[in-house]
Amino acid sequence: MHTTRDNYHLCRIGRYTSFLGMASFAVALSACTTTNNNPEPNQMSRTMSDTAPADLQLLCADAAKASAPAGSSALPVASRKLDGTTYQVDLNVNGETKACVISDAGTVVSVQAS
Amino acid sequence: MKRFFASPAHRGNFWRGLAARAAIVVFALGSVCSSANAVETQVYDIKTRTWVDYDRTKAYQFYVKNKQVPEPFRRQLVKFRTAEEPGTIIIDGNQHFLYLVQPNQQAIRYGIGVGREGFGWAGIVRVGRTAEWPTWTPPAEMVARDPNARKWASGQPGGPDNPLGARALYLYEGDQDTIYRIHGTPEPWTIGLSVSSGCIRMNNDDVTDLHSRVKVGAKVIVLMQGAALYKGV
Repeated sequence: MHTTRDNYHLCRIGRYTSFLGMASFAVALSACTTTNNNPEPNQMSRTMSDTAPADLQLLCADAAKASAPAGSSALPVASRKLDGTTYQVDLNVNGETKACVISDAGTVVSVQAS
Repeated sequence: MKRFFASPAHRGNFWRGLAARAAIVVFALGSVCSSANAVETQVYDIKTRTWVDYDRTKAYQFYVKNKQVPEPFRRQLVKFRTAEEPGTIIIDGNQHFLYLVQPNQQAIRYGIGVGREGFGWAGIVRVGRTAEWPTWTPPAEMVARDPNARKWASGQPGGPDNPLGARALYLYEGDQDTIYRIHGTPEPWTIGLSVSSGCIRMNNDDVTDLHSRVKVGAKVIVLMQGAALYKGV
């Protein structure tokens, strides 16, 4: 037969065990979060401007040049993130502005006059 | 000559543009990396798993504590998808990176410090010449207003306190000096920040490394940086 004091201790042990369980779960969840959500070390900086990565801007310029007359020049003059996976890069192609949409995988989706 | 300006108003003749940029650069060199605390860079804090503002004060504190800049701004080999020849330099002032293209779709990425207002132009230039421990000459207006600069009116010899740092790469357009330079700095904690006008700063180890890898005549692509980006021009 348990006394009131025994019940008190059992209750405390139960609470402690449950606390440990929750803590373990939290640690496991935290480790999981760390693994999944942290950016790569070389991507742990950003700026407010959210411009397209430099290589994507240049890929857009190459795509615009390819569809322009031989000897044309193209240079990115602005860029912005459209959504989680695509960017728009504004290009100056022989004095005209064109808009290039490119995925973060480097696939040029479109190049159009703007 | 390949250069594209942010707006039609910028499409003046070369000399007018050069003069305007010269004025900016003279100011930049005059105020080399002077204080302006626009918070626009954030770095990821792995302990709190949050993005935190990275301003001049925090950058200085980080550098004093760690003796180096945060990892993203350290020299490293990164994937870089491009058709540009190895040896080409690409300057992305918005993200505070300078890339030196390498074979096999890779590039060496260096952290840079840039001007708060940016170049205001994008273009293709070249490395016209380079210098080791370059002399820095303050512009006339700085000599007039700053007593400390007065003693260097005829040029501060190269050395660890020289604002141009260990090396300088002089950017030319054709045979003309654009007055833009990629150079070292005695303030390495400013890498990753936009805290002055005009100059492209690298820490001295990095600019020395870049200098050792780059040949005079190397192509330099400057991506647009600054307010023009946000206006969609």
